This record gives sequence, structure tokens and C-alpha cells, in this order.
Amino acid sequence: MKITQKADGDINIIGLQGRLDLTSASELKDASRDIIDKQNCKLILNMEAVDFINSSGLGALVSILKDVRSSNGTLKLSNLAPYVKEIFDITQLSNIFDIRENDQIARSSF
Amino acid sequence: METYAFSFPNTARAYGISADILNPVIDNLIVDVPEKQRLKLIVSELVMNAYVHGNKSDSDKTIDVIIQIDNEQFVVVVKDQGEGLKEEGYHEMVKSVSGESDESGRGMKIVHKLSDQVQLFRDEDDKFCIRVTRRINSDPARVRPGAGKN
Repeated sequence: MKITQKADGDINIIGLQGRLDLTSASELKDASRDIIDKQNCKLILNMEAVDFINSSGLGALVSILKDVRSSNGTLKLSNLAPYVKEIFDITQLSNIFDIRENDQIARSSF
Repeated sequence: METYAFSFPNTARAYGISADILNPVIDNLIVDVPEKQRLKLIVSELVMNAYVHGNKSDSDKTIDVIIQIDNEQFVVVVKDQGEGLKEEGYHEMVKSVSGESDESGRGMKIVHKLSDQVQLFRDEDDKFCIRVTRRINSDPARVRPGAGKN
């Protein structure tokens, strides 16, 4: 999985590319650690280029969400492909995550 | 019905490359992108379940994967050398509600939701097998012409 990071003011955007599964889940958690550990962080995970996600990938996202909330931060997901959104719907995680159509909408919703 | 059979050592590395081997089979058989993604997800969850829960990451064990397809259905059988899962345990697992903060426990629920039939049994070598069937539309946009016509 390729992971990129950029900052837009006080908002951090992590871009994900490739497969989010058992082998890449810990990679994502490690890459987001520095951002999540800060109090009141604002984080967008852009999933536009995620071409596959399974339950391990979902577990990693739940873990990040828990950590963000515990430091009083906010996490939003953006640009989910229809197939990826379908998995969130099947698992009812779309009721738990704040999912936005794109980064611009996600940014303006903080 | 066309059949493809694979055997992988039960290692993290083999788990990592199993998708590189199994996904092209699905890519070659199915045209419809959302449908092929659903099938890849079913296979991925079953292989991961065999690796982590069945064989308990024991590198001396193996995972066998058999994929069968015709114009009407996709079937995958994943075998491990673990203790197995009883029908009652399976139904309890898939019917249980995942908590908001649960980081695991969704894999077999996903398989259950995406499948038309799930069968649990032991084969003649006493390997534990999960056989999952998903009906597929024979629309040429979904199934590559010629698939299953051996």
C-alpha cells in the first residue's frame, strides 16, 4: 500500500493507494500514529485509490477512529469507490464513520 | 465447470502473495468490476480466516484453495488443518452484532452477506473445509465468455 501525507492548515490528509488488508493494516496505523497522537487532530483519509479492502483493513480504520476520538480529534473518510462504500454498508460501518464525497466537502465539514 | 486449485504454506508471506495468485483467476473469469471485487473479498476473507483462525499462523500447515465457476455460480472451497467450526458456532458468529469499536470479527459476516450458500465439512484428509457459493449472472458483461465451458 502506498501512503501519502499532506497538511492543509490544521487538517491532515492521508492518501491511501492499493490494497488495505492484513498485510497493510499495520502500515497504515504506523503511518498515522504521529497525527493521531496529537490532541484535537483533524484527519481526512482519502480512499480514492484504495482498490481493495477487507475486514482487516476495516479493523485498522476502526482502530484509527478509536485513537482519534480518544485524543478528542475528528476523522473523516473521503472519496470512497462505490465498491468500497458497499463494504462499509454491509458491515454497517457507514453508520460509524463520517464519510464524505471528496476532500473539499470533508474539509469544510470540520 | 472450470476448476482451479492452489495450495499455499501457512505463512504471512504466502498470505501476502496469495492474492497476487488468486485475483488474476477471478479477473480472467469475471468482467463486471463490482462483482469481481465481491468475489475477491470472499476469497480473501476465507484465506485470512484459514491462516489466522484455522491454522493459527502455524507455518507447518497449509491452506488449499479451489475455485470453480460456470455460467451460473462461483464456488470457492478453502481448506485448513485447524479444529474447524461447527454449524452452530458459525451461525452464532455471523448473527452476532459487531460493536462500534470492535476491530475484528467482521470477516465471516462479510462472507455470509455476500454468499448464497456456506457449507462447513471435513474432507477425506480430515482438513476443515468452507465451501462458499455465490450465484452469478450469466450476462456476458459479468462473466467472461467461455468461462466454465471445459
